Amino acid sequence: MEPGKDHIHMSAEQMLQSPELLLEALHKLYFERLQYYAYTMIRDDETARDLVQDAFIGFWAKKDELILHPAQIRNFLYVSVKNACLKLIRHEKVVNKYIERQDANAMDDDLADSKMIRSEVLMEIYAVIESLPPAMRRISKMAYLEGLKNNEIAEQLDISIETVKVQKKRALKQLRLKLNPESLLTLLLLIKHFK
Amino acid sequence: MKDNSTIWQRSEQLLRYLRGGLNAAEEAELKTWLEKHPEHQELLNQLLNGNGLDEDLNYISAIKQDQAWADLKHRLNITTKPVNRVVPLWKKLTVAASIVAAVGAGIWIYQLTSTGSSQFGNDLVYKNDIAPGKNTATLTFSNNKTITLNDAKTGIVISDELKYYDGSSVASLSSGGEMSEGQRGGNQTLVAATPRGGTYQVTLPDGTKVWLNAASKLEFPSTFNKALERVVKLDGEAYFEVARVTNLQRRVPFIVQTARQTVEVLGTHFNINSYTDESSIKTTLLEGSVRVAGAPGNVILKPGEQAVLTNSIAVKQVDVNSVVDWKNGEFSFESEPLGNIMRKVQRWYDVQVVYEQPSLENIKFSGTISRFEHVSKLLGILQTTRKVDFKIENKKIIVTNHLQ
Repeated sequence: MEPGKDHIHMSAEQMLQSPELLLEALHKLYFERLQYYAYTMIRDDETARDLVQDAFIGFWAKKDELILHPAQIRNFLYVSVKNACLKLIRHEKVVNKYIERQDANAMDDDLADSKMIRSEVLMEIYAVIESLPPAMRRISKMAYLEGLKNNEIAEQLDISIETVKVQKKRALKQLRLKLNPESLLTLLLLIKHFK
Repeated sequence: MKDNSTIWQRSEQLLRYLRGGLNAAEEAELKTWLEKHPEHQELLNQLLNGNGLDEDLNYISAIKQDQAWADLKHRLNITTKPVNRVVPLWKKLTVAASIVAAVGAGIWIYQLTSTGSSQFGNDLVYKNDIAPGKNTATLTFSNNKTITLNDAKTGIVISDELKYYDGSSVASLSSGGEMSEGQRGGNQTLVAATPRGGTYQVTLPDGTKVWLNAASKLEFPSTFNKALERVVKLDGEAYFEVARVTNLQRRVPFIVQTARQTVEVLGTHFNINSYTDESSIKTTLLEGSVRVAGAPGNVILKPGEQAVLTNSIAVKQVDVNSVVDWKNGEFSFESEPLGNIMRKVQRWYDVQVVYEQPSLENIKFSGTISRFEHVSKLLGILQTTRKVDFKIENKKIIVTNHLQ
């Protein structure tokens, strides 16, 4: 997901008259999170991609009946992917009865749903971090994801600790500008690591 | 068993918690939920620490969406002109999915948050909007005394004492708080019934859990002790999670009788829809194994299968989520004719539905929505398809053709 490319301007009329444009917009918005979701379920990259594409194909086939409301569409796509994954897992279990490919826990419906939450939340985190300019992004990732301290970051990047602090301040400012109120939550997380 | 909160609400709630945007009651509820779902507690911990997420985020960044789109276009034989990538007027990053729509002369922006709620400029104005159904039911004893069950509770447990799910006891309203001899213990037949617009849960003396949908009735004994068979009678719709019981080292079957069929169960999860205004009795199996028997014959179901009883019994594969949507607090439909959808609406919202033209009943829809919203929400989203329009007049919903 690239910053700035997550908005597609389309009128409601356009959406209905040009389903191809709608499909493109939907693919752009949802593909990554759906593939990530499928991957957390079945742990196979190629198959995950295929299942997600199938979900879009399924949407395309049903587009005349579907309620074209954002919540409905997202739900439809997620549920299609979830069901396809569960079906695959159950089939795999039957075929490879004595081979443990999954966790000890049976993949049940609730677990599948909980992975949806993870997928939605992580996409948000990802988008927030990616929205930063490269240098700030690098430093943010090091501070937040790798848990590095200022001196460690300075050493790795071969810059002064002062520079690290300045970049962090700028990053915070950028995030404040770029994030809408709903996403300020993530800002708070990152603030912890900007001290 | 799912909560009433949807997945999207939980995502948003987690994020709000991190922001410090929950009040004390909400936070307590979230903590209880987190205790039941260790995988989400773990996600939360990871978010607070930032640890363990880089693998996931790296995976996401490596996903090649444009290639996938190119492939998809090819497969579906689609050509598009390049989408007008207008840079938004304000450089905000909307991390939840958002589709920006410009309607008519003005710019109408609606943004999808993780909860799925959206400020959809709805030009429908409903007078007398209709509230959804709720937890309400009655319990009748063999002496024909009936008590109304508390609608602030979700279910009752039948054993030597009658208690609500939260442990409080069921007071008999009619006899002023004291249960008479006929109401306590012994072996008698009880009937739990829901009105239109009602739903309730009952845990039977053997531990079997039953969810009753609207306009339904369940007749059952107050004790199953030493029985070689557990028999209950159903009118309407219920979802069962049957407890495994053995007697003399044999499994004791659980049997559900409806007007025209019997379902025999050994320990399993299934849904029976036997409303008399539906064209068939549908029995759907989620887990375990059941035998469905009626005048035309009998079949044994496997999980994911549904037996449809009319003059014959047909077995088909179904999307079980659509069938037990009501138990999960939702209306969920997949290529379902409007007539079917509106019959569910009738029972839950306790309304009458009238069609300007009979053909409108056959139009198919797919979608999901919480059933704890006012009816205008559901009707609103059905209307966005521009295939039908709705009007609410008192307790009547009128379905018309969409006006161009």
